[in-house]
Order: sequence, then structure tokens, then C-alpha cells
Amino acid sequence: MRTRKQKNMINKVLFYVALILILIALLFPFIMMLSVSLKSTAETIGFPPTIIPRSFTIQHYKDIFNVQIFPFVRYLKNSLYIALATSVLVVFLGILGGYALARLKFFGKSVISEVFFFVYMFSGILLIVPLYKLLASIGLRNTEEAVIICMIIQTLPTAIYMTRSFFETIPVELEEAGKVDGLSRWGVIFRIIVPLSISGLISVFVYAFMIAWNDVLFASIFIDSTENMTITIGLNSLFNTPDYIWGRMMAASLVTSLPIIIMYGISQSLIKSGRADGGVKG
Amino acid sequence: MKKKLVASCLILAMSATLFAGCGNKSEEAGGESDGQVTIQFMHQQVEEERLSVVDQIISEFEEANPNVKVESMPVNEDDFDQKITTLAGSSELPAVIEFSQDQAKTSVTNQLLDTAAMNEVISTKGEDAFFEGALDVVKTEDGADYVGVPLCGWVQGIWCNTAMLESKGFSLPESWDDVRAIAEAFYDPANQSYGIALPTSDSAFTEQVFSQFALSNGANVFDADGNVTIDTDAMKEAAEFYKELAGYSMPGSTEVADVKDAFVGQNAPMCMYSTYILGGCQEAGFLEDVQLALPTNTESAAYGCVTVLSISNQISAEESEAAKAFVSFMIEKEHNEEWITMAPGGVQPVFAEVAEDTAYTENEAIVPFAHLLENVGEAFDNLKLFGSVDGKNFMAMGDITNSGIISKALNNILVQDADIDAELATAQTSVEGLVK
Amino acid sequence: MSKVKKFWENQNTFAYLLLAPSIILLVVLIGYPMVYNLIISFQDVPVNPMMPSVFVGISNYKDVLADKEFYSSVAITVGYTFVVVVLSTVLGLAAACFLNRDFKGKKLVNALIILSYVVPSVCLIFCWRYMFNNIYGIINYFVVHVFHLADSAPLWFDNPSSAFILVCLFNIWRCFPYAYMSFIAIMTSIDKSLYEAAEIDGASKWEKFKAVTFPAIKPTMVTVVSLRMIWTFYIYAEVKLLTSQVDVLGVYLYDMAFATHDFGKAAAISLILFVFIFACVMLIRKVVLKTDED
Repeated sequence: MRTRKQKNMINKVLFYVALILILIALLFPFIMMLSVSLKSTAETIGFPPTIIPRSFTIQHYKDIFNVQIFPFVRYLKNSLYIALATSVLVVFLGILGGYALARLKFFGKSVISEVFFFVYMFSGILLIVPLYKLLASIGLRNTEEAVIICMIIQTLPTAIYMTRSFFETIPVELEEAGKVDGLSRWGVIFRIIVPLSISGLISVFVYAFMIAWNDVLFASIFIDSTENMTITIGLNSLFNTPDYIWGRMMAASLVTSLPIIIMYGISQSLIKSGRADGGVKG
Repeated sequence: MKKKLVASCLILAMSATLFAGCGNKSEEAGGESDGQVTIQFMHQQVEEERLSVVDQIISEFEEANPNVKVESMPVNEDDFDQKITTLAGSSELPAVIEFSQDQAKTSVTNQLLDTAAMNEVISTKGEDAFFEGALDVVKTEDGADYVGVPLCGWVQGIWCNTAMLESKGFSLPESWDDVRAIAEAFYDPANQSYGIALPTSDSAFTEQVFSQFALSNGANVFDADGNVTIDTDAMKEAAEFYKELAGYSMPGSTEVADVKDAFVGQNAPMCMYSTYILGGCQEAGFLEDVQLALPTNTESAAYGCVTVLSISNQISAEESEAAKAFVSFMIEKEHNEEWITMAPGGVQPVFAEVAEDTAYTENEAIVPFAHLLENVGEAFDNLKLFGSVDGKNFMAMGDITNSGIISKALNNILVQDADIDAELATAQTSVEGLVK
Repeated sequence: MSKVKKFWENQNTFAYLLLAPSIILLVVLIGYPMVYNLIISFQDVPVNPMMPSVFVGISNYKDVLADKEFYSSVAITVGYTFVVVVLSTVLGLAAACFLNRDFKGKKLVNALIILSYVVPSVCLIFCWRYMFNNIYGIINYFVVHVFHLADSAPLWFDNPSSAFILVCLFNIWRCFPYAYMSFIAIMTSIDKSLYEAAEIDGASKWEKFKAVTFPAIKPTMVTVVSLRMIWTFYIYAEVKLLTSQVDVLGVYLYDMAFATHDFGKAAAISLILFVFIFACVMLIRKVVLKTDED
């Protein structure tokens, strides 16, 4: 007869084994990427293929950080700027819009909420030429701000949809209580609603950040000069050249993902610490 | 509370300032102020090492022309067409564009280029300064104007690893039969050995490589009268031969990376690629063994591409003058050499004065490729292209390549085992529809 | 109360104040392009704006609706979207359920799982290309040389069926972390006492899921599915760069706009698609997921 403790132990082991197998399956391409980034070109395109390199080289990583080959810091700075600005603004506008649609009754509400959703169903490709005309005519040619604006309109409808769903789960009594306590409507929004939906807002932030960070279409069209180029454009030029070097490409891919992973990790901790411990219990 | 309202307004105001403050980076697309003219130079040299060379040339130009500022606008090859289309649609085309003669042809068809300005630059330099072959393929259909000013070029042919060939007793192939024999001898997929590395994917590269075989059999997309001649016996023979060869190449839809890796990894003794493969061969250590062969059936055909500098017509008169000055600067001997040595071996000169200049040929970056220069130079004089027939360049060829009709047909034939007659007939009709 | 104060106190005004920036942005920056596309869908538009556009009435629409390739593209896209959306959602949910517990290294695991969502597409695509190469690709090495499942490297991306499967697999792998993140976020906020109550009632794992987990995640699921559907429907790069045998609408549309430069027709296609998706989403919301009316 197995004791409860033994049963737990077995379950635990099984869990970890399953977890590791799953991770290997999911991350196999990344394992390969790491492997290639540490190999010489001869071994990379040689046969038979190896997962663990026969001879290690960190030349590719050195090359990535060599400003002559890949100005990593500059790309990072630009990408971060665009992604952060987009997510901050999207969260802000999302809070406002989501609250209006979740709580307030007003004329044209259903029309607007549907329109917000449906405006999304228009392919980005067809937006490029008219958007470029518009933004160039107001002097935003070759600016990161143009890309930020495009990213905002790409993500805003979803953001408002998300914030709206989060806000709708917050009991109205809390707001009533706030109003009774003398808070203005803005106070209700920023003092009660926002703190309670921090985890939701962080999801919105992460979502907008990801979209802006990974964008290559709008960035390549709206940005002309090298000072403003983003990581995705930089990666593209490493990949789509007839002089490509596998090791370099893979090293760049891994290195450029690190900031996001770190950011995601931070956001996870924020969610943990900011989670509301219930507001209307009892 | 009022406080909250004020706080919100402050945040908005701060964001607005952030925008405005960083908005200083935005520049007008070209323009004039106080006699200073700014023009943009759009090019495909995106690699960081090359960008510094481009910037160097630009600053030399600006020093010599203090009232002109040139902005470098590197664009990835794959995004190039997309960007030109978008910019053109907003009348924001840059003043000077570096691209292939095919892309230039499309731009001319769309009336985006200032042919008068380009003619002026060429005649000022003097037509004899250019290799005849290079100049011929950049003329417009009526032969009266130029689609761009030739800057440099690259040549395509069958690159051969002579060491590998000799190991089985072969020498450089000259005819289709030679190529076939070598491919057969080396085909041993179980040991990762292939007869020849060829592209078969639905891409411009496949069309380019195929065109060389077609042209060496006298087949072209148009005939001298402008009729579409895809569905012809000569073209069919070429397609059949290409399919046979593809059988000795790597299976599936192969493209740039597959071809390069196979040759550089010495899995194949022959491959079709541009001169850009030489860098990889140098790194792998067998550059001395590499030679270029041009396939001949009924004719000897070198395929190549001439890179041109074109001047757009969406700019002001002052910008146009500045553009002409810049283009002329780029085709001066020293600066042309600077440009060419960016990709040693990868890019070839189109001016006799550069090709013969010892400063160029003895440049340490060029020396390893010296044994190839002769063959390559010859290739340029025999340049044959799809869409260029008897000295007449059909502008529609740019649109045809862009539309991918031919490459799609090739992919179907080579990889999907489609019927050659059917595919050629479909391609014929589609191209006729496109050319209208 | 003065009239002015009444104006500002009015819910309507407040609401519009909140929404104003968003509405303005969207109306100007999406409305204008939409109207522009509507207009050019009735024209034959040249690349050069200086050249005149020719009014062609509904011939663009007629051409599109008569094109067999368009319909096959729609069919493939619908099939592809269905597979990717359903499987990535299910996979994300399964992963969230499986990992919804405390264990050592949870933070690390969470960070690793989202890698495929976070890394730019071009990196992933080239990595896959590298792995599937016939000479040095590790996948073929395992298939042919280690496990002897085939004599020679199969044509992974050229056989329309295997290409379709691989493209789906690629995109499921790429997209499921989004579903995972959304579900995990909700699931960590479900009150544990609800599970305990169900346990006391003698509920099995599946019943616990149905009674406690599912209702809580349903709204999230609706969001995830709807959004994923729309994004997947228009996908371009992740398909085109892997294979030429899967002709999804994103590819069809992009080629129309940038390869043949027929913007009028591309606009007509996108408007047709817009109507199509509109109908689909409405259908899903009202019928399949039985969402409550707001």
C-alpha cells in the first residue's frame, strides 16, 4: 500500500519528468539556435549535424556586440522606445476607453464598442500606403513616432476590449463606496478601478509591447535612416543578405530576445505583488 | 477631485512634450533652406560594415559640395519593392536610388524616373567610359534614354570547384553535355553529395538562374518584335534540361541559402550563384580552386545584373541638380572603386578605367579574386538578359519578374512535377495578359 | 445647477471625453485608410500618383469573385485558421492547467514557454529552415539516419499536405504562449476555496474543471479565440517564408498589392474579406460561444 507521502512523491516526479519532456519539445529549436551560435560555419553546415558543438566558438557573440557589425545598443534603444511608448499610451487610453465602455451609459455606446472591435478586422497591409501618405504629410516621415502611432492604432481596439472585460468584473459597489467617500469620477477610475485591475493592465501592457517590439512591416516603411532603426530591421538585414552567417544570425536572435524575457519576468513579479486580495469579501 | 483632473492633464501634456521633443528627429524628405539642399540616397547596402563605407563616400561628397547634404537610406533587399511602392504612392521617392536594372525598368514603366537627368550624367561621363554590355542593358525600350546610370554589376554563371572536378577527372564544363556529365558523376545523396546546387524555389533567383540556361539555348521571353515567346520549343528544351539538372541537385524547393551552403560546404562541385559566393569560399579556404564557367548550348550566355543609380522625378529642380552631382561623383574612378571594394569579388566594375586601374586590381582585398577577373570581365561583355533582345530592352520585363509568373511555373515544373507544356502555356497567357 | 456644470456632469460628456483620444486616433488613422481603400477598390490605380486612376466600377470585385484561386485561398485560410486557433487555444489551456501549481523553477519555466511568442518571426523561420535542410538539417538526420523512417529527406515544405501541417504546427507553436499567458493570469486569480468546496463534494478532476475553472475562463477564452482568429486570418510572413504551397489570403493579398501592384484589386479583396470576417465573428459570438448580450 502506498502511503500518501509516497504517492505525492511519485506524482511530483512524474510531473517534473513530463515538464522536462514538454520543455524539450517546445524549446528544441532554441536549443538548436544556441548550438549554432556557438559553432563555426564549417561545423554548422557540415554533416552529420551535432547538437553539442564539437568545438566551441564565441566569435559570433563577439561579432554581435561589435558595433561595426551589429549596433545592438542603438537598435535596442530604438525598439525599447517605440515599444514602451506604445504600451504606456495604449494602457492609458485603454483605461479611459475601457472604463467608458464598461461603466457608462451614453449615446452611441453600442455602436462605438462594435466599431472599435470591427475596425480591427482590416488587414494591416492595406493600411500602409494611405497611412504613409497621411503621416508623411504632417511631417512624421522617418520618425519613430510614426511607428508608435501605427502601433497604437494596431493594438488599441484590442486593448480597450481587454480593459473593458477586466473592468466589468469589478463589482460596482466598490465604486459606489468610493463616490460616497467623496471621490470624483477621475478619482474612482485611478484610485479604485486601476489598482484592482493591475494584473489585467499588465497583460495589456505586455500585449502592446510585444506587438510593437516584433513589428517589422511598419518599422521598415516608416524609418529611413540608420539612427532610428529597430532590432527587427537590424535582424532582417543580418538574415536576408547573400553574405549571411548562420552563427551570427542565431546569436543575434538569442541576444535580442533577452530584454523581453527580462521584461516579462519583471511583469510577472509585479502581477504577483499587485494582485488584489479581494475587495468585497464577507 | 480637481487634483486628479490636473494630474491627468499634466500627464497628457508631458506625453505631448515627449512627442514634440523627440519629434526633432523627423526630417523633411529632402528640401532646401538657406541655399542648402538635402537629398536622400536609397540603397541596398544594409550590412553595418558597408554602411560605414557608404557614409565615408557621402562625407567625401559633402566636403566637395558644401551646400548639399545627402541622407543615407539603407533598405533591405526584400523590403525594397514594398518601400518604393509606398514612397512613390505618397510622392516621397528619394532623389537617388540604387537598384538593379530590372527594378529600374519597373520604375520607368511607372514613370517615376527622370530619364533626362540620367542621360545628362551619362553623356557627361562619356558613353565610351562604360563597358558596352553594361550600357546596352540599361537603355529604355526605344533606345533613346537610360533607365539608370550603371554603377557596378555582378555576374552569374556556374561556379566550379576545380579541385573537386579534377578528383574525378573533369575539367571546366563548356557545354550542356559537360555539365550533365559532371552532375551525374557527383550525384550521391546518401553521402550528402550532389551533382550541382541549383535553386528551384518560387523566387526571382530561380528565374534568374533558369534564364541563363534558356538564353544559352537562344530562348528569351520576348522576340525582337515584342511578342511573348515563353511557350516555344527552345524554352521547353531549356526547361527540360533544367529539370534534369535539378534532379542532380538537392531535393525540394531550394533557394539562396541551400545553394550557397551546399557549395561552400563542398557537397556539390558546381553551383549557380552570383559572385557573392566567393566570400564564403574564401572563408572556407578553397577560393583558389573556384572558377566560373558559362553554359553554352547554341549560344554562350553570361547572366548578370547591372546595378544602377537612378534619379527620381518626384523631387525639386535644386534637388535634381544635387542628385546629378552625387551620381556623377559616384561614377568617378576613386569613388567607384571605394564602392566596389565594399564587396570584394562580389561586385564587378562597369568601367574600363576601374577594371584596368592597378590601384584596384592590386588592392589586397581584390587580389585573392584575381584569377577570376578575366573570365568575369569577359562575361560582362557577353551579358544576356531575359527581356533584352537584339539590343532592345523591353520595360515590361521588370513587371514580369516582379509578378513571379515565370518563377511559379518553374517551381511547379521542377518540384511539383507539373507538365512542362501546360506550365509554359499558362505562363505564356499570364504574361501576355500582364503586358496587355 | 448651471447649464455648463450640467454639461460636464453629464455622463455622455464624460464618456466622450474619455473616449475622445481613442476615437480620434482610430477614426483618422483607420477610418481614412478604409475610406481610401473603398474608393480605390472601384478604380484601377497606378503606382505613380501622378498618373490618373481609371474608374472601373465593380470590375475589380467581379475579377476577384470570379477567380478560382481566391476561393481556394479562402478555403485554405479558413481551414488553417480553424486548426491554429483551436489547437493553440487548447494547448495554451492545457499548459495553463498543467502548470497551475507551485513548483520549483516556475518563473523560469514561464519565461521559457513564452520564448516562441517573443522572438521575432524571422529568427524562428530561419531556425526552422536550418533544421529542415536536407544536408545538415537535424530533423532529416533523425528521420533518415537515426530512426530510418525514410530513405531520403522528405519534401517537407513542398508537399502541399505536409507543408500545410508544418505551417500550422509552426504557428500553433508560435501562438499558444499568448493563450497560455491569458489563461494563467485568470486561473491564478480563481479562488482556491472554490476548488476545495468542489473536492469536498467529491468532484473528479474533469468535473472540477467544468464547474470551477471553465466558467471563470470563459470570457478570456472568447477574447483569445476572437483575437487569434482575426490575426491568423491575415497572416502573411509566417506562411510565405516557409513554403509556397500554402496559399493563404495574407499571401494572396500581399502579392496583389506589392507584386502585381494592383492596389485597386487588393482593396476590393480586403473589403470582401472584411465583410466575411465580420459575418464569421458575429456567428461565433452569437451562436457558438453563446456570449451574453452587453
